[in-house]
Amino acid sequence: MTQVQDPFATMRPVELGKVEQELDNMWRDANAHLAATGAPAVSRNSVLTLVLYTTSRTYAGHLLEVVHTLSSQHPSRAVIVAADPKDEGDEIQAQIATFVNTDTNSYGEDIVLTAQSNAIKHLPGVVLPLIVSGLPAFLWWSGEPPWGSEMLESLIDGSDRLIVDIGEMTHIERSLGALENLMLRKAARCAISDTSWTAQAPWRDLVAQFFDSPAVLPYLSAAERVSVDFAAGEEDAQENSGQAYLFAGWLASRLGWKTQQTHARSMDANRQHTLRDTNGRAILLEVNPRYGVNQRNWWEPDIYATTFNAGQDAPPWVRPGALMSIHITARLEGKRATFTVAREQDLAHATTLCHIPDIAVPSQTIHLDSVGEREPISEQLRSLGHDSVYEEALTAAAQFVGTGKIR
Amino acid sequence: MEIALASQQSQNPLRVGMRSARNVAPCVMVIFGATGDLTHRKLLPALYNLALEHPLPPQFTVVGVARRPFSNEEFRQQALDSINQFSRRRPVNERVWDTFSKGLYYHQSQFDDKSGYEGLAKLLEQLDQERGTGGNHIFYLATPPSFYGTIGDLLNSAGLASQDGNGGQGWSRIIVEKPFGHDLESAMALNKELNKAFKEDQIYRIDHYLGKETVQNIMVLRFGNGIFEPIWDRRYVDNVQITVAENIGVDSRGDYYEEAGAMRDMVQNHMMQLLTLVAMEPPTNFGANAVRDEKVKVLRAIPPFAEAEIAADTVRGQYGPGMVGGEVVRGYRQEPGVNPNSRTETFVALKLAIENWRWAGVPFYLRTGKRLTKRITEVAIQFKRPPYLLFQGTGTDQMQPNVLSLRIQPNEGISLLFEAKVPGQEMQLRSVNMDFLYGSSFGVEPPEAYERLLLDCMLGDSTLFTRIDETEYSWQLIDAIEHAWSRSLAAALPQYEPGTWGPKEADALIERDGRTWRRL
Ligand SMILES: NC(=O)c1ccc[n+]([C@@H]2O[C@H](COP(=O)([O-])OP(=O)(O)OC[C@H]3O[C@@H](n4cnc5c(N)ncnc54)[C@H](OP(=O)(O)O)[C@@H]3O)[C@@H](O)[C@H]2O)c1
Repeated sequence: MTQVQDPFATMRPVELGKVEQELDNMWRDANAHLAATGAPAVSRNSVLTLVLYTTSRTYAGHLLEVVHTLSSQHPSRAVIVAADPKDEGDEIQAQIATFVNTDTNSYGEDIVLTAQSNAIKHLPGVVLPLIVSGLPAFLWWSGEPPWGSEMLESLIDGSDRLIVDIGEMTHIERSLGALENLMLRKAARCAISDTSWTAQAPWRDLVAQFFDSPAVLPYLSAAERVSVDFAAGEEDAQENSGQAYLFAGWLASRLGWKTQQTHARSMDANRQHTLRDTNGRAILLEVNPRYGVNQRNWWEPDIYATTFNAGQDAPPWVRPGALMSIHITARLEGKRATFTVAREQDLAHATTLCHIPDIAVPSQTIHLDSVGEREPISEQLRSLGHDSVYEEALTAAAQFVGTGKIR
Repeated sequence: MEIALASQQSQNPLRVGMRSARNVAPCVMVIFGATGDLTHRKLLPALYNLALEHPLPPQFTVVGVARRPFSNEEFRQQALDSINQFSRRRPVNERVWDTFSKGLYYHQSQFDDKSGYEGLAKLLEQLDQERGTGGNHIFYLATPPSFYGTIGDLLNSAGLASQDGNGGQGWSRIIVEKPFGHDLESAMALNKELNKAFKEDQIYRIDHYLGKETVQNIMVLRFGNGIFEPIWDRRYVDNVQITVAENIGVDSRGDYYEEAGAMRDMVQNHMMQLLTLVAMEPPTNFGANAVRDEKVKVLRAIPPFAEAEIAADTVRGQYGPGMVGGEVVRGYRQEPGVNPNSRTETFVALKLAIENWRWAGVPFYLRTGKRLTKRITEVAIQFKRPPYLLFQGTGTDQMQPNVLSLRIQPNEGISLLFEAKVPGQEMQLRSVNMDFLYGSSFGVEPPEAYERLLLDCMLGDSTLFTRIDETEYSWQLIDAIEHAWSRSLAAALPQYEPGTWGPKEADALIERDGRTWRRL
């Protein structure tokens, strides 16, 4: 067993009250060093503050790597909070670093805060003053947020956008409901968004594309059955249907389909819902797990590459609960049409297939990575404000699982 | 054009709120000159990149047209080679290639063979059926410009040119490459030819500079920020310098270059685009015509050169033999394909005026050339000096003017040069450069200019293409200079040392006004 290295070993520990002052010093030192070598000074500019919350220092290390890859597009101050409730004690410790990579023209500054169990509730008082005034503040929550906690509420109140990942949550019924509730309560000050939603964008695009043609569009309002399959591990392992419901929620909210009752049977993995369109026509929605799919968090490093022989291909994987296939059946004036987007065996590609009487549509394969499935955070930092399409999809998803408000 | 754009907006409720709310309609792109260099290096790689990153509709189809007897398979193989060699996303993704390549077809024909176009029309009709492209056709002329007229005519007689394609279904558009004419007369003649078959709003004239992210960013910088526009005029701006410098020579393109020269190759198109984007008034909207209307107004406000001014306000030059980076390089006249007595210029420097309310009295200095010190494209706005009486006698009378520089390539970015006090008891000032570098990218790697332009044409958005009046006004300007130059055959055509910033006459041009070129 190799010793796990402290991911922040090279960072400078500082007193909590002196973070700003020490950062100033670090930039000055860095520039003095550059000036001595005749290189041009680097400017300390940022376009946003990113507060990142996680419960483990190891994860915090991985996530910081991701943040650094973003900094060429989003020069930022990153405040990484590692708050492990199992780490008993009363302390919050700070470490800082400046980050300059002249090869990629990226720069930023990092502040890592490690909070012990009893100090977690005091985090807002430490984090909020570190947010750069006047610039947008993003709160990126890795894992399941502690719904209802005062600490969470205060951090959200100090941010412009909360970024979560439904794919990292453990109890989907509760999480979707809690998220929707948060979204409604915080609407005036903070927008909510989800990296899983961003990762699904290519899937939404492909499904929408089926119906771009005016000749095919009428089939959309004649849909009878929609099934959404999501990735799951072993049959008895915890599964995450959040992304599947979010996708179904998108389709339903765009098309005005409403649920009457839910049949979420926790004992039965197959979830079926009867929806009604605005004319009262029934649409059957099915959400199914696809077992035995290799899953992992997108921001974790490629353990395989570091542990095994380099050069060997890592086994393919997807985000937990990722979409595996979408299948829509429609019947228009007696003509039956089917529309399918399915992830390929290699997990990296998706292929579209549709059968429509009298209309030729070639099938198409896309590389999901190339259209942004795996690295969704950068896109998140690009937008401020509310994404009403997401919000409506979330509301619908929460209704399907029975925790949303039926309106 | 704005109306055309609006009609592109989808009726599809699933498109609401999507990034790609403007979706590409299924279409066929017919490339004339499909076995040529441009198709090989730029077009096929760009189309593949689009298919990879921006899912083009599955129906999207390419038909290559050229002389040599290729089969579909051979054309596909050539496309695969192009992608593997030139795509920024190489090597090819095999699964994506599988579906993309099924949409590639080849049609052998001479450009002037009528029956070839009848065959093409049949093929398109068949593809419209089989692949669902609905009569939407884009014709890309990657051919010598001498064929534009013929191809337009023959497309027309084959019924392929009409605004609404086959039998009222679908649309047709035509893309033409630079050079668009070699003077005003030929440009107008070329246009007249094209207009017999295509209306102006069907014609997309490519200037690939406009496809560059950083060129588009000039508009964003100016009109997306509140702080620049108020100082963007004669009250605050002292002069504007536009540099498009290349460090390479003409390489194997001597034949082509002999006919063109720096003026036609760079100034008439790319530099005029930069100039108009920097100098134009805010458009009323970002629709194609509103933006281009404003650009044209700038061109119209440039007074034509009087003969006497040409000697004073223009400089040309030709690179001689020399050494670059320790290697001996040929002079222009020794390059293959170049006349040993050539009078074609490889360097131009110009001083232009824009006579309107905003720019009266502000000189615009332009310079471009081959075999210069480095490869750099930049627009620099030099602001007026403050009344520096305040700091006189403190060694600060050497203060630099503030400069806002927009670097187009390489190291795209924006920098602002300003003065700051050196810490200490003395009043000592020092220039500080505040640099904003776009990361190496705003995504993974910035899309190639051709990707953006091809996509815009598929979407029917011609904002980033050159309108006929832009072309004509800029030729008018260039013609006056070219005529004067050719009349005074004996006029100076100084040779310059490779690896320098051009002939010393170029320095004299700007120094006469008490200014200097920016050191780049
Ligand atoms: N290359 C560039 O990077 C570049 C950049 C900017 C603009 N342009 C412009 O783009 C255009 C094309 O340039 P290019 O470099 O690609 O030219 P090129 O390499 O010479 O290719 C010419 C193409 O036209 C075909 N062709 C020529 N005469 C024909 C005829 N009578 N009938 C049928 N096909 C014929 C050739 O087919 P075969 O091979 O079968 O004979 C070939 O596919 C020119 O207007 C050029 O100025 C090029």
